[in-house]
Amino acid sequence: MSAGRLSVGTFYNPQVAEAILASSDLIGHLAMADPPAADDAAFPRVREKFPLLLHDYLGQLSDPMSEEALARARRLQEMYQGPWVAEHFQCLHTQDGGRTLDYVFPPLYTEDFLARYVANARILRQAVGAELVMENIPGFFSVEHAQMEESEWLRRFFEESGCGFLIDIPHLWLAAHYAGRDAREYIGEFPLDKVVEIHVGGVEEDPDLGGPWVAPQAPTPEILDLAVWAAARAPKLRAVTVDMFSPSVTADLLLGSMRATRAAFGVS
Amino acid sequence: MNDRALQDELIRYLSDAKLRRAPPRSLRLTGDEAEKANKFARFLARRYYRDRLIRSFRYSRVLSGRTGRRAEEVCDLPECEAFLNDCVLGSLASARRAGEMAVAHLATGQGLYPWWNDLIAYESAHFLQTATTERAQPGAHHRPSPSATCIHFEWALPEMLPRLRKGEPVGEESHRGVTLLFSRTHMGKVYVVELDESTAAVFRATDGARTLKQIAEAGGATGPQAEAAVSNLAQIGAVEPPDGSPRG
Repeated sequence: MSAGRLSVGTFYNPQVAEAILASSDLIGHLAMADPPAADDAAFPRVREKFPLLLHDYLGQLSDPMSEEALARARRLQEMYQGPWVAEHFQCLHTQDGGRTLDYVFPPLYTEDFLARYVANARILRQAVGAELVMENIPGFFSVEHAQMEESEWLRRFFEESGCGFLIDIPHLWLAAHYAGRDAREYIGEFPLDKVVEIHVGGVEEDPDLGGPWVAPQAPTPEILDLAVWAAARAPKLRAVTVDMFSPSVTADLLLGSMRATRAAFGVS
Repeated sequence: MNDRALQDELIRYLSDAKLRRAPPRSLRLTGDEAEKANKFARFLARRYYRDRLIRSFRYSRVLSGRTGRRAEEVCDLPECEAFLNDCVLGSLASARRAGEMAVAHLATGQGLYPWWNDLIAYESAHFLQTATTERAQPGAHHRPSPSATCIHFEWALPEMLPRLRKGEPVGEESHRGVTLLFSRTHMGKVYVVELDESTAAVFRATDGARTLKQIAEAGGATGPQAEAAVSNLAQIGAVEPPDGSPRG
């Protein structure tokens, strides 16, 4: 990934590895949500050809990470050698480890959690020896205990921690949708000047939620429009990533989404 | 209650259907927001079990062209709705119930392959590990982890599975008994290991009531043998050490 040049990439989906390898210059980088499987014969060639971004579950920064978790993060980053690593603003496990939601879930936006995330992000960043970018997570319902809006909490986090912002546009679109807000106005409240990477992706109706939610689908034109709008206000932006990682992802879906995203951003 | 403890309450609320019937006052979730939280909990539960069924029942999935069934389809059956209303994410009881639904759903393969029941038992035991985060109750002696299970199979699953994945036939040469232990560590790593008779006997004797000496006696092992076996079993999460000991 060259400094000063926008890279448009996606996630590594091993079931379509050969199509990814044959995609010529369509894919600028690959985010790694899982470590490569031991029997993934294509991965050595993938690593050779593409810049890789660490986007695994490293830990929840609401709590101190164990030495074991930090060592794992360091090992993964040593393997991928990406210009930055990513984590999420999530808190999905109880402190005793007895319960987990096994799905990204945001913390309460309070002073206490802000201090926890800032402190633990600094430790993780130092452990991996690379820039750390943090991704926003949508809430589906509101909790009265929040002491500030998500946008303010994130702004303060980035200012105090020095981390970069991985802005997930579908997540913010959903948050705006369920808050009954205009998506562009809503996104404009977030610290776009801290954005290093943008995620675009699809949404679809979920029967349990009775409304839209993120899905491994092609980014909608509205999501791409919002992403381009945010990019124009993000002077530190270096990468746009099609957020698509699932065993159900096909080569046609992945490569078609890449073409649509490159076209939206005017990247030839 | 501090904010972190409150977040734990919220996580427990979303993961435990029983708690949602009587929400903790501390969460102050009422009206529309409580309803939305319940919808989200249902979304999480369906997703939690679907993902793990896909992961653990992956070999029977390869054969779905003939059987016409995939384990994860149970998540969309009418009978799953009652389960979603009751389940506790990560509990052994909920994992067992979801696994039983999958086993019943996959019964169509029984007449097609002589080893089908063994394969489904293997995948079901694997699913118990991926879907259970519940920990053993505190105790003064070594005890089995909640989801750990030791099963004797008539067919040699470890050598059959790579062939099934490649779509190759399985012949009579794989018709030989094997004893497998399924377990998971606190970090979520799942182990399936072949056990010899002596280690299997030690595992079965580790019941939370016996001391190491008594485990050795019940398992027909010497003291050092039992100690080594229990230590190895703890490392793969099959056995919980007594309180105060380092965890595997």
